[in-house]
Amino acid sequence: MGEKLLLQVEDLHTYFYTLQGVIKAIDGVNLCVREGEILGLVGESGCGKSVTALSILGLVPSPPGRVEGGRILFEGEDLLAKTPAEMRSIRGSRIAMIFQEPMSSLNPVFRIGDQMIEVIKLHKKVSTGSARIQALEMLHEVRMPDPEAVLAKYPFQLSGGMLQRVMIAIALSCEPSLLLADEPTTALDVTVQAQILNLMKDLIRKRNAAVLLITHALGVVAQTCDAVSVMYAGTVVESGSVESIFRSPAHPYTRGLMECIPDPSRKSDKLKIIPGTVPDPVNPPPGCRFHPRCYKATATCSQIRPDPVRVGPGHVVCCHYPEEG
Amino acid sequence: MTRMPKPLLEVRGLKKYFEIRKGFLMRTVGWVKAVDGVDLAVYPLETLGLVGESGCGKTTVGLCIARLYEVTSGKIYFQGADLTSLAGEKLRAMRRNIQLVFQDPQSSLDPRMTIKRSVGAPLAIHGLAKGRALEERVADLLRMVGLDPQHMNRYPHEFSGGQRQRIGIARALALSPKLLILDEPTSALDVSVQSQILNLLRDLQQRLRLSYLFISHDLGVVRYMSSRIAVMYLGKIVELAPSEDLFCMPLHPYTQALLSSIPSTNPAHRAMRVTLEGDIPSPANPPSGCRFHTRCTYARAECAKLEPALQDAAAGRYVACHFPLSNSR
Amino acid sequence: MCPGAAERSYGLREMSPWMKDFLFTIRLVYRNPLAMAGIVIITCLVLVAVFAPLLAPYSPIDISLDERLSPPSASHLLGTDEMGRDILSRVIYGARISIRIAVTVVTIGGAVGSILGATAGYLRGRMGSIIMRVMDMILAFPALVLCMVLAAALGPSLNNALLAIAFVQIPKYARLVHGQALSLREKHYVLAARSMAASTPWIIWHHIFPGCLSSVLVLATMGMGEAILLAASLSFIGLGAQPPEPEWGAMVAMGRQYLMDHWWLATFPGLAILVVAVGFNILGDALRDILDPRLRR
Repeated sequence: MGEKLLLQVEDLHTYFYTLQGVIKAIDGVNLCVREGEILGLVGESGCGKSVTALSILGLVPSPPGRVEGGRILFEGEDLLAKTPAEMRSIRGSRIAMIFQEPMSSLNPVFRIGDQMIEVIKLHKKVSTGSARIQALEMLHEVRMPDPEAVLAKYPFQLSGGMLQRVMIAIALSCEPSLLLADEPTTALDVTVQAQILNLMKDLIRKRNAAVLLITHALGVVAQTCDAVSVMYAGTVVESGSVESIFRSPAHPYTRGLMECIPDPSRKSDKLKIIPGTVPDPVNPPPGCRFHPRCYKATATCSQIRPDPVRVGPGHVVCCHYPEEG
Repeated sequence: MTRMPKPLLEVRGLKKYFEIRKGFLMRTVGWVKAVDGVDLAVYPLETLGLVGESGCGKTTVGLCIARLYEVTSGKIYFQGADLTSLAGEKLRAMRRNIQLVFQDPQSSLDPRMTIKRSVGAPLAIHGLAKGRALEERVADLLRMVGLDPQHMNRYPHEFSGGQRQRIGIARALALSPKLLILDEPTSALDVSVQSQILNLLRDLQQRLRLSYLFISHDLGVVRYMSSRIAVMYLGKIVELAPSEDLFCMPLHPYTQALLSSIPSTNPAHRAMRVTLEGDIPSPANPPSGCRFHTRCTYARAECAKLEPALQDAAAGRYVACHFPLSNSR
Repeated sequence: MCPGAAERSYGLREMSPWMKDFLFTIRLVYRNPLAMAGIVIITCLVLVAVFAPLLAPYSPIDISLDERLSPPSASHLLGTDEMGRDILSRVIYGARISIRIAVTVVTIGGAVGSILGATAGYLRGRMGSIIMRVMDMILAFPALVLCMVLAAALGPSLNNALLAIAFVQIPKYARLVHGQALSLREKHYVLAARSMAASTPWIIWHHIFPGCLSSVLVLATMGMGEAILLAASLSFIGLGAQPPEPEWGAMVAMGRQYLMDHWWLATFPGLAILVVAVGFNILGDALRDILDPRLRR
């Protein structure tokens, strides 16, 4: 794993202008993904993790959305300064993506093979024949049983797990250096999820590509990622290596999240809870956004937005009173 | 089992097949065997967890017990009375005892009804209360699930997912049922809200002396909620055991695989995972013999021929496998 | 705050949901010029119908043979017909008949169609199939031809014509409600209602009908325009309103014989039909936008 930064998101703001008011979906997000690293971006629904991915890809629906400020540096270039045409050529070739619903990412009326060949031809400028050979190789690599037959099938003839394999094959066929995976296993069953996660990890390691894995499942992160960033209400509240965050979560929100998941590996008497619900994105609370739900909030928390504090090697937390140990 | 009190609910040989119709004349060309011979029992004040992956038939079992599906065959006894043979006024009266909580809080409440009407509907249908009395009762129910009764004139879209799920629970409690069928009650919710709902359900169980049939795909949640757990695979129960035993020492290879597929939140436990190969077969065309043999690492020749029955494996445990695992962990 | 206070005040602190919905609708209408145009036309029609005796300068049926076939002038703004009756007055009184047509047809057709469609969609099975196949059979005939046959069989009168038109409109509502009922019956709140032992009529009344209401309303508004057109057509061929009733279609029919030399006889009632039919149609279109649940929720 190199120390070179591949993707760096600095103070990103993405707002949506709606009838109800301005939704500050992302309000000051900082992220960095190193080469060959799997970064997990965790958070609950509505925390802005998917919008972060869309902002990186330049796919924020506009109107009503707009990236209002910040920088997104990818391999040293600022993606926010790119023209739509330049972004199109980056997407799919240098940055690839996988979404939650593989069914809706594939066109239902074309065969799997045609769709794969088309993508490979588009990005690699090769003949149909060699694109087909590459498509077969990719299907082999994602451990698809009987790849020849799969090429001739339509999306509805494959199961969710198989389709997600196809999506991974398509995404990796153009040798991207960054893969954005938005809840890639949420729609799958646990036994299939385990297969897909293992597969993704192996392929990524082999290619030395980096992944931004967006998920709400802490277990998936713990099993798959090297580093984690935890999002809450449009901001990153904590980031660090998987080991240090899971061993000693420093933000009360991260800690709360971990404690309120029933652990299948042991009997728990009473689950801890985080009181309340996710704040309204139109009128987020002032100061630290978590303070209305935080057990250790003080007057400072409701007034001053906490700056990132270093609590360990590579472990940064945005909290006035970080947890110890 | 002799120490156990009489079961509140007992299901015997439950089968539910759905027809596959094709063509202009809508001829039946096959059957989806969603539930294919399920036996289970729920005892008073206990929570029976029903786990399995999508398409295993766990939701269908719940809907059959609530008599929302006509069963293909089998018997469902509630306090000794056979629900499948009830009709008319007797069925109507019996329905008060068994209520449902659904997965999707979006679809479980009519968007055009105020909360007061939704929660009050069961009372109105059974003619138990109206006017002022109904309003009082609805306010009580809302308070019971931790909502502000002042909001009873609002519409569902003004509530968050967790609050809507509370409203769904309040509605299910309106008729003072004895058994609640909880069909994935928290899988559409965020984790921080999920724990609130789970704790609420446990409190309510204590306070109102309820029994739960808890249907879920999330093993962590099931372990937290249940005293006993039944594992389903392709329309059949493959293992049924007290939850501690099941998690500590699974007897069926499928249970073992399921347990090890759960991504642990401990990054140190990465290497221990046994992952299953392949996909779940279609319930329209299940494999011969043991339905799990196509994915089972321990499968032998007879597994493909002979279907194993759910057998007593001592200490209140049951397993449907020719070669159950012993102390393999 | 004392503990009882919170309980006593509920219901009052919250604005009535109907009121909130209504205010929101007003705001949406206000922002939609097409809806405004439709509302203005239909409001005019209703006002004209209600105040017909005040607005009409003459009686719509009194004959005055010395003034027959006089062109539009200061005394007869839209001229007179072959019996010397004032066309303006007849058009104004015709508005009353048009509203009667629209309301009767839509009420009968919409109610029967919705009940049949909801029943068929909710029950499905053999009963549902039979109902929907009968509806398909009615739809297989051209609406006008079927109306003519029925109206002729019942005997020429406006009321019989209305019954015939209402009958022909039933399948449209049935099909619409059937489709919606099919999707609504799968909703979990319908399952929940069944598990609470709600009867089929209760579920149809409390869950299925309200769910279909907005689209039925749209169809009904557009159906009013169609009903007026169909009634005019039947009257035109003599199967609807009988002379001397000032029905617009009948007036056009009479005026047709004089169209070459006395254009005003057929033109003005024809224009009235056009404007009202268009008015109902754009109102229906606008309603569809306003009642769109994606916009409302």
